[in-house]
Amino acid sequence: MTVVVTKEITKIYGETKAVDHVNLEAKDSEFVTLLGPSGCGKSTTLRIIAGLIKADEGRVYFNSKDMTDLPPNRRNIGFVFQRVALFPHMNVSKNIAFGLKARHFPQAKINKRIKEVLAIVHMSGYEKRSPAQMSGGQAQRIEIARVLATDPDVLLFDEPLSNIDAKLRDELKFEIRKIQRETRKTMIYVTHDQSEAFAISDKIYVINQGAVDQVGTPEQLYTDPSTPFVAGFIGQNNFVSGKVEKLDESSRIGTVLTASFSTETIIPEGISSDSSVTLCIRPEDIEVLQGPKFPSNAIGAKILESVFMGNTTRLHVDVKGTILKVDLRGPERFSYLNTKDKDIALSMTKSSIIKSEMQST
Amino acid sequence: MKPAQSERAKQIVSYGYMAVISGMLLLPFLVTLLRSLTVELPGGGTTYGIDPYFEIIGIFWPKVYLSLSISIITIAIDAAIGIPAAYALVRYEFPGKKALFTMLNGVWYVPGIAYAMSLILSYYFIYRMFLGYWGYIAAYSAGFLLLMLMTCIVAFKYLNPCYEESALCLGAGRLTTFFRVTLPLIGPGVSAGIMLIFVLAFNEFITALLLNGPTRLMTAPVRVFADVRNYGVREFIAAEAVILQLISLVVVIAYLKIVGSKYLRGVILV
Repeated sequence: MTVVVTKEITKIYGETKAVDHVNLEAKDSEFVTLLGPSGCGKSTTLRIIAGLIKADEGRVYFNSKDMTDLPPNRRNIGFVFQRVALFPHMNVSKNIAFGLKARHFPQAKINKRIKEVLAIVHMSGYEKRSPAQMSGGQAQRIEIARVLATDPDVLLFDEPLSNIDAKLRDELKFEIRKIQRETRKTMIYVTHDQSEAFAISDKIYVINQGAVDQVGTPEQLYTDPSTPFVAGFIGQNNFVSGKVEKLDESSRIGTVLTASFSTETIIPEGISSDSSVTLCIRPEDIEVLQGPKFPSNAIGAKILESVFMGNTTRLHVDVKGTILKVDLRGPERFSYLNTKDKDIALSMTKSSIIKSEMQST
Repeated sequence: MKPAQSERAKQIVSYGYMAVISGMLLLPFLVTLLRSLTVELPGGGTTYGIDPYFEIIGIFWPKVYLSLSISIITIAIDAAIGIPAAYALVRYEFPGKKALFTMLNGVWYVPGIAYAMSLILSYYFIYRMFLGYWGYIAAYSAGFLLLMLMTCIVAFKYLNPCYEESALCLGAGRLTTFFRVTLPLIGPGVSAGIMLIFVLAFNEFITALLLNGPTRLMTAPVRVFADVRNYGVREFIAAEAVILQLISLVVVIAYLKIVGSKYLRGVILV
């Protein structure tokens, strides 16, 4: 039952602010993810929480207790590293027993606990194996068992799946989530992979250049990005500059007029008529209309290129000089394979607005 | 030439090459061994036996014990100083770190005799407290510290800090982490340092020769030198040389067999 809070933590290396006044909160039993590109400061933040790096400013609290000056071995944490850190000179049993021995557990209890945690990660029977005799996925499971053995208050994961092949990564991320639900531990997880973050997190902190850009549930971040960075980093997006017209103040529904087309969308508070905005349209929120009759708000476009990507087909279309990405799913995606220079009609099913101007990506 | 014949020719060349290398390395030892087993008969002529080894029992073995004890204490002191120092040099940042590394590397290029003279001047003439046995220990420890330091520095550099961090996060203190995780993992580095220091200290000649005068203590290699100078290359001197070579060999093999594999079963992982 642990709540983790950081207040204004800052870490500076030379002239670079690796972590810039980061405030975060992981509630009891919550799965919190720090998501951001490489070098954005998410791992440094996690290491400050663990006590492996000392912050230049700010405090770290576990259940309101100030942990800032305590070394890692006195924080009762479990830390799973990006690179498997099983001790290569010890077998699985000894690796798991290490933390328990450090806490002076009796041998009988250690043996019992080893069996318990190996069962949790589905690795029973591997007690005598050495780390060198295991695959990357197996070793990472043992690593998780090792940190679970000591019954830590908080589990910290620093990109634990980044060195594992895609198929296994997909399995393990759900297993980590399942373990978290079963053990009800507070978890803070670092990743640069948004699909991983979305699949397992209760709450996501998007980190950019050492600072928190946006906090929210996966759904909130996807549907309502509040900054250009979040809009660009999470998922694919079409960014089109435009101006708000015909804003209904009560419903906040307005029309955004771009150089090539206009569309209706919800205008956030603080943005008035005639404001310049950036319209964000996800490729999957653009529908290719099937004729022969089209609604009055249909937008004419020409297919420039079609790329088959397995579960989707990506169309690059030209709407009067504006290039948009359109994703087709379901059986429809097979209808446009190798299609080029074909006139089609589009409809925007959903879009969102961010205040700042940004380049199209 | 057919592929099978070509393969055969390659094998012959590689075996021949290995035989030449082995011969070059083993030949001096075999010649010395043969000489040490030569016994001169009273009426002229020679035969083979182990009499030369009995001739030196009371004279040479005390020198061997002295060399062994100096080497072992030197290793203990250098390990006690060198391992923590190497850890600090690799893991912590401090002003002048690069200059210190440059200086440490620079010591390799100082001629042995000049370095030995400097050590003796420092530890004998300046610090007169080191007269005798402890003068040897002080000079040897200082002289060979760099070997332990450099082998351990390399080992620490290639040891990913995540193992130590992992141990700390699992609740172990810094000492437990060092002795149960770090030290076994830098085992190959420490072992290399220990073996190098043993072989070089046990057979050290220049420093021992210079210290022989003021301290009146004679190590085994200096005894061999003195005997050669006084008697020429006699069979009992060959026996002394064989004993030194065998001790070095046996200690290295025993260390690697017993200690190297059992207690320092580390692996360096990048």
